Amino acid sequence: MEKKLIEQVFEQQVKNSENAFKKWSGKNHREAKINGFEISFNKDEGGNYEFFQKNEFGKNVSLELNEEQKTEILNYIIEKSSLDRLQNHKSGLAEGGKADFEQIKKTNSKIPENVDDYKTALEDDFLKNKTTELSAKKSSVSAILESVGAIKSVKKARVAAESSPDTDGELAPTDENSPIPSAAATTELKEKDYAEKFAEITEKLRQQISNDRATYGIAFNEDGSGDLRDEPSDYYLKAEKDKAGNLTLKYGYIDNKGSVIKDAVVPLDAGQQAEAKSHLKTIRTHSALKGLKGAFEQEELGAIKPKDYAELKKQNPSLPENMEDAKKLLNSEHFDKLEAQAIESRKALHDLARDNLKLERLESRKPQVKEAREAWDKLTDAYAKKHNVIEITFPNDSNAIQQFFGKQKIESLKGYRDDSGQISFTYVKSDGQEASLKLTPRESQDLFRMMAKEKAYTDLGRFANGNGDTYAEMKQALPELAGTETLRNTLKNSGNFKTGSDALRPGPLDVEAQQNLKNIASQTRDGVYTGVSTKNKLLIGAGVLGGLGLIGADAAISVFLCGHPPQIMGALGNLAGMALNYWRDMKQDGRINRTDERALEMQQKMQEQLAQFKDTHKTELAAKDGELAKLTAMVEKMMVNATKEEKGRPKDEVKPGAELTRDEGVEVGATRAASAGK
Amino acid sequence: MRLIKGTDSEGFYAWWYILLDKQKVSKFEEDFSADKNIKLTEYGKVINSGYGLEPEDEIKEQMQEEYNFIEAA
Repeated sequence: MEKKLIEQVFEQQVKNSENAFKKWSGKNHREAKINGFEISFNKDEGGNYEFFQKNEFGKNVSLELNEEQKTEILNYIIEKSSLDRLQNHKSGLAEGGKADFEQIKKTNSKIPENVDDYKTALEDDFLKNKTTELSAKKSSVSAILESVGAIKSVKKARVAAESSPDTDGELAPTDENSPIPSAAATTELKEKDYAEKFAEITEKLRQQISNDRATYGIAFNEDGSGDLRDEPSDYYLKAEKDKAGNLTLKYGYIDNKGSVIKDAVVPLDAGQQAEAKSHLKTIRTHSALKGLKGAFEQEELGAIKPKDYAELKKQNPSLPENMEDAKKLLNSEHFDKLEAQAIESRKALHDLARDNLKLERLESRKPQVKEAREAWDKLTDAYAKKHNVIEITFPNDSNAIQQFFGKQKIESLKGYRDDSGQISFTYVKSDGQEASLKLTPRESQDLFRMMAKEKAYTDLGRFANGNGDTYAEMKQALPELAGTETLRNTLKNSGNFKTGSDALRPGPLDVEAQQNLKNIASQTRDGVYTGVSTKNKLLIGAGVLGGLGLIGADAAISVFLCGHPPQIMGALGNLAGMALNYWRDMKQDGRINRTDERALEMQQKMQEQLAQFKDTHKTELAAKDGELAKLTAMVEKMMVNATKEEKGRPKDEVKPGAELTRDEGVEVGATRAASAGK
Repeated sequence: MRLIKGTDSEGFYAWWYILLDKQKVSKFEEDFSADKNIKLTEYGKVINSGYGLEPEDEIKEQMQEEYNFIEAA
């Protein structure tokens, strides 16, 4: 039996899409929204597809799908896009529609010559049935995505997410050879112009930073990372400029005796001054843009609105005309490159500080340090690869592991890898109760590797200190491990695994010093400013404040805003950061650190600090223009929304100690003067 | 009508506007001062409620408009 006309048109549409996919270079990520999952994908030169989802920090995380699953997702996307196309034809050709049939005809060879024939075909039940069929496929695709750890409802500031509600499977093309065009992609700034625009923005920011005498703090780790507020950092640098523009760099570190050295002034010659200033500009430019990017990513918190952006644009004319373009620009490879440069700049400043202060380089202090580090790294890799069960006991001074548990006291943690490679974890609480951790596949892999690292450190340490019982296991996992005598000498002479030093990681004696430094570094986050000299008026609204939680930086404030004293903006930024972290915690159901106890503790701290802020700055808050009050209200709303989204409305049961404001003896609806009492 | 600011039974900061039953006003006042949890719906109707230390300004305005409730400064 011959297929119905509409069926033929649909199949042709699918073929067209498949061909477009084949021709697609695959270089740039393409985005799709499926049942609340916002994913992207690309294709390598061999035609292999890879799927991603952005994590909470905006980084693309690969989704581990097998070929069959990838095919199922792609087929769904293609079919859904094709169906949407025909539905658009239907609505477009309906009475009063503006669609151009001649144009439509060119897109599909099966579309009949006569418009009325096509309109009749579009009325067939086929489209309705196809919609039902695809709805079932959508559920199946959702289940696949969920099974590999994709997270639903991550409302990113993405074009795909902002088109019509019925965008499931719709693609937001990111290159000009897009197989399936989408109206959502039509903006003024073309992708080919991104590089130029991004360069213009960063150059402008660098100029602004050159003219500003703010004291800028950077907290970072050995590898240059560590600009996230949540993450403890190992070192800090403070940069101060005097009136003549001379730069002073101050460094915080732990010396070889385990003491914390604060604000050691780094001697700099003229050339190094210029070099350091350039690195600082890169770091601060990145920080400022990351603040804005963070604000976009927190749109659902009311972090930034188009009108905020319009005001921001007035102050910073180099920004793109519209907010959608700014979002896309900040999600482009140009921002990623800037991020990589900022990390390199942090590392370079770190090297400069250590070299000029004549501090021993960790890697070059002793050859044995290097060898011991290599042994540790290789043993970590071997354990992570070959061991299917790893157990570690607490107390454990690995901050990386501890952060999975927040303030919970843990006795032990066990990781299991099953035959399919899936990793699960159980842990024993201080009360002896056993519980399991619910993590994404990526988090599971990370934690398992951290555990392997911890076990490798412990086993090497025990061996170095005379316990030979760990050697056989280590040697079995890593056959190339040095012989017993050589290994023990290396470990002992490295100065690690015995008395502790800052070369590999702190030993027991240095833990406190390390923690002290981390605490100081935490207060010296990227962008802790004093004496901000920029005279820009406060305009951006809560947008940048929303982003502050992600970057721990008042950087964006300094560059983009001001007019209000920095100490006020810094305090408000901290409150916004707290609100954002609280919100993130509340929303991440199933995460180990999201306990009611912790949530309560956080919200109490947050509300108390807000009340204190309002009291301290009541004069400024009452100012005529009301900008600060508006911003504060936005931050307050963010705090409240976090609880509201999770809990709905408060319970109708009130605890003792509440405050009562009453209407004394006045009937509802009657005119009466305000009265109050406790 | 009363505005209550405090913490709910779960410990979250919250506020409530309650329209008290006339007959239960005294009982409410008495129980409110006692050191125990009180269930608001036993004394009247909760008109509005939310999380945070204070109702937002727009809520206050709404309560003024609809119930003529003005919170004293």
